[in-house]
Amino acid sequence: MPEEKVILQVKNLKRYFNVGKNQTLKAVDDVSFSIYRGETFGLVGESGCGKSTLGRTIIRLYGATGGSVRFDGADVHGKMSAAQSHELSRRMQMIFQDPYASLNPRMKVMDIIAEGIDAHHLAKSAQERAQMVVDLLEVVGLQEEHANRFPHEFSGGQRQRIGIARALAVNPDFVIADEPISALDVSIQAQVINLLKKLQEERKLTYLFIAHDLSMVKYISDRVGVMYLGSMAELAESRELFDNPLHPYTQALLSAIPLPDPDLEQSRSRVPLQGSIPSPINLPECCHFCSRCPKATEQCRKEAPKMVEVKPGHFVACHLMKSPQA
Amino acid sequence: MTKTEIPQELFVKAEVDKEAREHIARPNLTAFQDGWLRLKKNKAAVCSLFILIIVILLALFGPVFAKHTFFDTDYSQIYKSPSAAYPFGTDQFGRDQWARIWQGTRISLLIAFTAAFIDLFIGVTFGAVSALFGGKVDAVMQRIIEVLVGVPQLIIVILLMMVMPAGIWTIVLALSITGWVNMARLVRAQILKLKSQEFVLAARVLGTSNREIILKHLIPNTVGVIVINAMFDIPSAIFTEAFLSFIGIGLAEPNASLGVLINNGYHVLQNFPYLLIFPALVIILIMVCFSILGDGLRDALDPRMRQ
Repeated sequence: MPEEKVILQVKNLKRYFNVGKNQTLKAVDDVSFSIYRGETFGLVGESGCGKSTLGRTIIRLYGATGGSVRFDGADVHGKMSAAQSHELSRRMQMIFQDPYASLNPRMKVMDIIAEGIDAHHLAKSAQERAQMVVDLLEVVGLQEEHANRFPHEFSGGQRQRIGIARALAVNPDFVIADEPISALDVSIQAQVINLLKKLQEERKLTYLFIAHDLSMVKYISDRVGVMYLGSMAELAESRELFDNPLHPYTQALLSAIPLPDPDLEQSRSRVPLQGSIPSPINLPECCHFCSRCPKATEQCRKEAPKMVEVKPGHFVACHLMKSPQA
Repeated sequence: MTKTEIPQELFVKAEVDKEAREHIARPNLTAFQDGWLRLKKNKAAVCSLFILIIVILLALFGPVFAKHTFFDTDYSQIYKSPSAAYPFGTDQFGRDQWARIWQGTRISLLIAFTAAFIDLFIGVTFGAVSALFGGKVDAVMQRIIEVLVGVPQLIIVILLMMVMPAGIWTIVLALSITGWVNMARLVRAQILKLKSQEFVLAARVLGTSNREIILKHLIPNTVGVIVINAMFDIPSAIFTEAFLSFIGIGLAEPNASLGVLINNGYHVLQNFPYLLIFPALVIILIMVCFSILGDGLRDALDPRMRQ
């Protein structure tokens, strides 16, 4: 991929938390990837693997312990003027997981959506501000009269759409969607996903889509990264990853997707994983997946694997993949 | 079982109006209207509010309309039982108990409201600063609170009374020295909770300044806690003042507070019980009503309790 198409480049990003004396929680450990302009990058992994921490570190809610995040060439954690930093916060936005916690219960929808407009002084008058909010409400399928309501009067799906409208109010280029659908009903999930897809086409948005619902990720993403315990296990284009998973963890993960066809579902073979995810505090130097991997070797227990490009655009961090498959 | 065939023609496509699907039936209300509507449903709270308004009006205007002032002595009229001329009777100096009770209520309420206001001001500032700065600042501020809680309030009050003249402002000061601690703790806990909520994170992501985050997100969501705690502060301040006056380190004669009146009545309880009963009734009314109203407000002000 040519350099100018990269909008976000994450390089060796680390985010550690001190959880006690000599205890470090490596929530994100040495993660590198790039996101191209206009694409949807899916990020999957089980609960607690660091997906959300990664998203929040990219958008500067957390500082980075090490490594760098470059957005359009500028290091977001590096030194920059207040004006640059403010402009950056306009261009990167986030949609949150819990539609019940992400809207201030004391504010009207009008003021919630206009928060970014106010912070960046995008409206010149009160009328212009109101008009912008009404337009945004229409974009996400709500009505003008909803602007004077309080968030608790809305359903989960409506609230999530208000959250989307709030993020869009500042005309961002890049949106991090942190499990935007996991708190919603299945019927409403489709509605919100289709809205996100429509907005992407209309506004040329780039998404980092964090989720643990694999079929949803398959549907929306161009490329998918699989995370396990703070590090990236496998990264490939969506179709390639789902058709040809190489990392044992990805294989196990994909084999767990239920199939809608009952006959196929009967014959579905699963790759069972033994044991449970180890504690992320003070992990030893090894492949983090070795304790549960059915194919683990001596080498896996001794050193951490590096990301290797086994096919063009398909990266795997696994010792078994050292040489491109014969 | 035979299968019942339903002919295709009987099916009609259900048309869902897009507008109707997103319609909210509930009328559009402001936060204040909404809180008032729900407070009105709580009968006990409305009654309490009503009684409190009457008591406050009497405290304000009762002494004005009384035929006698609260310090006029009339030695021909000592220890009179309640009558048309003296609705609540007279005390050992022939002073009108009616005027004295409302004067006492006025002073007790003044002390309570002032103390509650000072508690609110110091408590909210201290708690908010402690929660927002966090880290070392928070640790030091919390130790200060623990030290203050560790010293018995009565000892601080008695020591203070020794160096300052007896009077309203000494009592207010005595009540305020440790009274704000509860408020500070509640506000700190609330702001710590709010600080990591997703809507505050969203505001930071949107580039909202810290000042705006405090004013638009943190304070409005703490108001409920603040109002309710202030509501409970008032009866406890009245009670503490009454207690101090009762043990004799409160206001000095001829000034009256409810505590002073109860103390005087207590000495002659067996012969002239009405001198104790009326001020005691007023203090009970005030305390119970403030508590019930505070409870009602807590339920009414919380937007998450709405149906």
